[in-house]
Amino acid sequence: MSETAPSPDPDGADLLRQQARASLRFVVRALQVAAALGVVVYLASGIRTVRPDEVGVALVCGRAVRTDLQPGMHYVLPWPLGAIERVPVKRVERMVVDDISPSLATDSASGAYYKRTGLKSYCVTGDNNLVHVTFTLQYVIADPVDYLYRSRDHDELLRHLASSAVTHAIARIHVKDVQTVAKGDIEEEIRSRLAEDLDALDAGIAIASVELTEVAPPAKVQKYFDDVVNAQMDAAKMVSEAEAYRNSKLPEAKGRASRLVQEARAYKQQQVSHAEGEAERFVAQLTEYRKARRVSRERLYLDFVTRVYPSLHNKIVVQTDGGEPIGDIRLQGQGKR
Amino acid sequence: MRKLAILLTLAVVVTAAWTSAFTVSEREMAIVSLFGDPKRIVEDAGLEFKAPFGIHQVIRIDRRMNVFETQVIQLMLKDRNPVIVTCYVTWRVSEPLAYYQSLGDRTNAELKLGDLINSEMGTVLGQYNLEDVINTEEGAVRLDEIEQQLVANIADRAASTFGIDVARIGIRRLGYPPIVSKAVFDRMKAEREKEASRHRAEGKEKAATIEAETDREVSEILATAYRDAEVIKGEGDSEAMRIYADAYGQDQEFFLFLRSLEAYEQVLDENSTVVLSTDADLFRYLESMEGR
Repeated sequence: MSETAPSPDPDGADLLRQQARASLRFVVRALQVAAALGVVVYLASGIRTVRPDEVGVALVCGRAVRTDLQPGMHYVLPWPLGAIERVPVKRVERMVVDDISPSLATDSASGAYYKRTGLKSYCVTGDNNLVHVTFTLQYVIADPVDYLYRSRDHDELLRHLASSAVTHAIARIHVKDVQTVAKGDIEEEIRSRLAEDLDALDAGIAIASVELTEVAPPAKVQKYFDDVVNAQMDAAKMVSEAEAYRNSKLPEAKGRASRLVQEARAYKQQQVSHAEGEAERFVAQLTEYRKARRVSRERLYLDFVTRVYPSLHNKIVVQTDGGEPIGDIRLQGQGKR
Repeated sequence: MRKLAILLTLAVVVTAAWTSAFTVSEREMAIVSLFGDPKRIVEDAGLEFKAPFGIHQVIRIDRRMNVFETQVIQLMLKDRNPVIVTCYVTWRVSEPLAYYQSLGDRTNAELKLGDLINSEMGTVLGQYNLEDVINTEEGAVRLDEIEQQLVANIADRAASTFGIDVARIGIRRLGYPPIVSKAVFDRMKAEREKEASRHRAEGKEKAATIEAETDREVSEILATAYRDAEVIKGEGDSEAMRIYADAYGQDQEFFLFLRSLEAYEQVLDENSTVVLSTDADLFRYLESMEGR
């Protein structure tokens, strides 16, 4: 029987054991540290951030415990107990709705129908005309809880609600107004109807704006609609030409009228002035005449005769004594005195 | 050996705990069933427990509002006008168990619901005329009423049979079958042509009115001016006449004398032949120094 005698080198064996123990302790220590670290990391995994355009909802075992986590750092219970859901509430989303007139490529139920029938879709106006409508919506998430937990497929929902609102709005409007005067009304009606519906259905989204981007008659009849616009312009042109005629004729007539009146005034003035002049002259003559009637009269007469007679070429003086002509006397012109 | 037993027990306990706990999200409701036999319905979100090791199964049912569009159908209105209609439908599960047993999933639910609505739509729309669907008169369009009636007719059946709450049915598309839309296009064309020629005719009429009015005003202005001018001239004439009369009236004979001389002067020129009598005043002294 071999005896396990003490080692020839007990110090060496002791050393080995000590080393083994030390390394075991080290491993255990390392494991403890790792475990502690693991726990720390696990607990730290509950730290979450909410970005500036978001609101967070904190969940414990699936139940929402806080619904208004503002942007910043937040602590929730780590997995699998807690979780956070983030909703981009401040982001304005944009959506183009053009499938009230669905493109033929859509493979939705109605898209397939329109594909099969070759029929394009449209809205029916109140006066039984057809128009294609495209519009653009902007919306935001209004209520994170409703948005996350009470509704789904928000784009689809909004698309359906908006299309329905358009169908309703167009169904009571004249086709000629759709493109012009009623555009704002339609937009407002769609907006208010959508707001009401979204609210009533707890969709969690709110409409920011509605804009009709295209309202067009079907391609087949487009040119007739265009012609109406042309006709309106033609009519306006005719009217403006007539107004131009009026604007040139009226002033011309007024000019002629005032000329007539001015001429009449001038005539009146002339008549009166002449009369006054002549009257004054006459009165002056009369005044002098009255002072020596006979002489003045003679002088005036003889002045007249001497002024006028000399220039007359044919003058016949007839002796009328006894009543019978006895011959001609020609008074030859003596020239001016 | 003991350690192994402890370890095993621990594993079983952990597994049991792990498989008996489950969470229900805010988005859903849960049915706890025993091999397919429903035992319990969980309607609130949170941590729940059930029998472990798959004895109880959890069936999760989405509780959010869904939306879908019905298949396109062609219907006759009361006045025999054919229309093509689709609706959107919003619905949510109200009775998870009834829903699960009658429909099972969303696809099936929307199929059944769509059929139900489409058949009901034939009945409801059959009570309305085209003028109730489209109309330019204020308040004459009764689409809202039609939709409410659809919901009213569907809601009870959907709730009791399918465990579904139908919140809203809305008419999403409204159109005509191709043959009708062709007729509508023709009518639109005719109406637009009429409208265009009406505008042109109105323009022409307006222009003609303006021109005629202008011509009338022009002749009115000229006539008035002519009248005013004549009145003014008349005033001038009468004024002048008065002045003359005032002046000449002072000595009519002298006036006649002067005026006659002037008149003779005007009348006589070098080509005039004057036959003078020796009796004329001019020749008073011709044969007599003393005059006659």
